[in-house]
Amino acid sequence: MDRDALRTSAIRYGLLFAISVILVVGFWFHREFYQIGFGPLVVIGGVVTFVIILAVRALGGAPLGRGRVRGSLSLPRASAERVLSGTQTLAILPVETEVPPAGSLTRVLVGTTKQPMAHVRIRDVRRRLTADVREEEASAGGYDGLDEFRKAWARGLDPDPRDLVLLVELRKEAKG
Amino acid sequence: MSPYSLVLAASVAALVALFAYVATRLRRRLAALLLSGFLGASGVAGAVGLGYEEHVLNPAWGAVGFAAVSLGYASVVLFVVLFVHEGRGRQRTVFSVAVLVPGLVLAAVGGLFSWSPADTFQPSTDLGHVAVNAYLVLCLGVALAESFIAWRRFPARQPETFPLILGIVSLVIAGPIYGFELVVLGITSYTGANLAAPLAGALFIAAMSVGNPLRFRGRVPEGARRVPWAVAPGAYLIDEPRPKYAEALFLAGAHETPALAIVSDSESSVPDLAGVEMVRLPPGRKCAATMAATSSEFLARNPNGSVLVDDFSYVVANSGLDAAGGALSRAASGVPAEGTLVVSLSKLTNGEREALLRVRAIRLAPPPVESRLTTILQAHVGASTDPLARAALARGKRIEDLTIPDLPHVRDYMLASLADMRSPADDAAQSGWRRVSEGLAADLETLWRTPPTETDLASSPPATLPEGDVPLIRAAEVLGASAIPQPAPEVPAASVALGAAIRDAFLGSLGPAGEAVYRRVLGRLRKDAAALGPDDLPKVSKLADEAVADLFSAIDVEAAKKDLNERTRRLHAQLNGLARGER
Repeated sequence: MDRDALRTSAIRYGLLFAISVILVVGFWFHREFYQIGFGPLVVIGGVVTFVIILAVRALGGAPLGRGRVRGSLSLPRASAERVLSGTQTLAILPVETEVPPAGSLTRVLVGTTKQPMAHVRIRDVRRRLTADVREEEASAGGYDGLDEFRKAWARGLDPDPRDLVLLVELRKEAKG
Repeated sequence: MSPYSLVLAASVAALVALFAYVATRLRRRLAALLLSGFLGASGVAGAVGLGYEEHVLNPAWGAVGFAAVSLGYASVVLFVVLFVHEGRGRQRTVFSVAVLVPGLVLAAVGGLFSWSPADTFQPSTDLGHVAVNAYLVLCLGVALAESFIAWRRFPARQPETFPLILGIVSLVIAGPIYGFELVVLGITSYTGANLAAPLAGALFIAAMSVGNPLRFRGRVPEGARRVPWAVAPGAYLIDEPRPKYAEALFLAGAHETPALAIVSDSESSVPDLAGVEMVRLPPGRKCAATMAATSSEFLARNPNGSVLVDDFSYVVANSGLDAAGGALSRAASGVPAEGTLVVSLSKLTNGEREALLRVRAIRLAPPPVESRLTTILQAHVGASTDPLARAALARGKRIEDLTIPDLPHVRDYMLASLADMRSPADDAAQSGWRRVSEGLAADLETLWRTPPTETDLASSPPATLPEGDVPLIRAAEVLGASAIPQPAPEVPAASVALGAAIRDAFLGSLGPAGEAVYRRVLGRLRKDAAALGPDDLPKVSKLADEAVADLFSAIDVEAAKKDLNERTRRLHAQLNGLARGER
């Protein structure tokens, strides 16, 4: 087990133990104070413990300091490899693509196989008309310039300059 | 020091730190003021409790502690309700008075009868103490209910409302519940201070931080008026492919009043907004809340101001349609009677536009500027793409990037081009050329002066347009005056002579550029050449100065500037001569 994982486990289980102690002290105190019988204590205590376990579970999925992995982003294999190598920092996607919000950590999946390839941080999400995509954006998106992007985007059809695309700015965080 | 004193001291120190944070970092003035009130009052109550514990303060300070407790709880409920229900309205004022007056009365009565803060939340049969307990519990109850209702009703605002609920629950546990339990248990040193106040304060700050307005100064835009429209105040949603009319409407409304452009990209990506105060939206889920808070706060501080949301699609892409729609509704409902909010709906899908129909605002869907330009050019010079592309290139833009503030430059360019195309040999066709130039100038002027609220376009296209993109001049227009008999309006000969003399003065002194300047002056005067009289000459001279100043700013070469100065002096001399009756 590496140092980071050890530290994370220590913090997580330490917090869990502290919450358990507080719960026991609270139940003991209120049982004495209100002279609650065994039955009501079991019901009230059970509900409180259940709610707290749910809350801790919801929070517990997040790796400490890095944020929880949200959703995924499907990219063609070539594009996913470029993201992995750090040469592609922008994904140009159809406007209807579901993208996790900016700031979140997400998985990059290879388009056809859905195999996870990397973890990336979404830095920004914006829309553009295809006619307004800039040269540097096309290059960052893995195309050899604006012409190649337009050709690839049109896919042999008559391109509509009013088509919308989603520009997703990425930063590689870890190999998948 | 007893353990209770240590906890109280730590609580007061934390409250002071939170107070400083709120005062310096949170920018929603009213909510921040109420939150500061809660933190300050809790801090005072805690300090008085600490003074009691350490026997530093005498019992007379109890009145101060009691007043702080009463007003602290009043601040909590006011903070929560006014934070959740943004906007303006009488209901907010009535509610604030209904909360504050009993709080102030109780604080005053408590001071009069020397009630101790340690008596709060204690079992009592005394009418005064029952009233105090009922008021404090009611404050917490209303705050909890309001935040819970908002949490259920507006799922998109849950990141804001959830910390509010947690904060109030912590105040309830450490206030009414433990205030009662600790004393019954024999811990008699309870002082009325709520030990959960720092935790609640931190949670309230977290709630406010989700939609903290961006930093702005409330500046009036620099430079001269760029768009000559009269804009009625209100909230406008502009549906267009690129945010051109939205920016123009904002620039028109922002004349001589504070204005703020909320943009999604760097300043260089919106050159038309140069000189206007700009803030950039942050990416991520906070985007929608930040947009709404910034707009509402700016208009609350500048009720006659204007706000532009240049790229609402950015808010939708980052926060989702539900959150963005809710934020837009809040921003639109918060526009004061004299304020203006302009939101561009460019780059939204049809489904998203339909979902925004519920937002109460004036919706406009003007046709793209470039298509209107194309129509006008087709009608007058028989071609559009080539001359328009050249005019756009002269502005360093593509055709589709031409905006409303570019129209005077496009008009001047087109008129100058037409003037260049005339040669001395064209004398026979002079009147035809003039008609083409005048018609084109008038239509471009109309397009520039027509706000999107007036859908009726003066520049309607002719019945049949020439095909293709070859620059053609229709013979009927060039030869119109001589070849085709047309009824001419009767005008006094002297007026015609003065109009022509003024035009000659412009052309004679400024060269080919004089035609464009002359047309612009006529456009500004809103007069035909034939209607010009001697009384108009001072105004003509002034408008010519403004037009020449524009030309002057576009010249970088010193020698050319000197030449233009000389030519302008000549023009004034000629206009002065005309005023003296020398023709």
